[in-house]
Amino acid sequence: MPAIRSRSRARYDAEGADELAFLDIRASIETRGLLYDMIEAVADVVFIPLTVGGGVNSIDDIRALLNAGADKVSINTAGVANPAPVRRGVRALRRAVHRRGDRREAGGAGAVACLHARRPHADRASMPWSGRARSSLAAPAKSCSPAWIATACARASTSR
Amino acid sequence: MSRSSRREAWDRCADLVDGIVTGGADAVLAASIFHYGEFTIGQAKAAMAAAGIEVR
Repeated sequence: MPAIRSRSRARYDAEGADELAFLDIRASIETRGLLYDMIEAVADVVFIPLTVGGGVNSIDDIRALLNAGADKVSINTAGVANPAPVRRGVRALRRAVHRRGDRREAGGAGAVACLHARRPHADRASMPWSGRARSSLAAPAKSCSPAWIATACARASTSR
Repeated sequence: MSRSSRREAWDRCADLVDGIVTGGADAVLAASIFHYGEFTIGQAKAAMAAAGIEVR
């Protein structure tokens, strides 16, 4: 399965996609494990930024995804349901990213998009970024303070 | 692809334009229209460029 999926994603790379996002939108509901093998397979053949989300609950989840090959991690449900530890974790990670980015002279930090899953927080009014972000569909982190609602980005393109 | 399904795909591609022009997003993301071959990424970018959006 990972091989097939990685091939299809390589196709998108070849077709001119600017970024790939793998959002396992049911992961936080079914408490499925994160699909690290698939992420590694995709990262091996895809050379555009790879964003991964779904069931990300902790700083350890974020690190594991980045280590598996994700360039960016998207956090949604956990950011709404349990914001404090996620906020602390993302802040810590962002500092780390900034430091690394400075060293590599590549602007390694960044942050991308916040997407809200359809469930269980379907009510847009309950979204903490409502009224802050220019768009709740996708918005840059800088307009989505506090940062935990947005996406922590590490590795960036510096390691590719 | 039939004319009606092509029309539907184009309408959904217009959603990408709306996300940026109306919604103010910096980027848009889509899945099914690409997975099922209804639209290529190139066509989606062409539609956005035709709407005056700067695309890579």
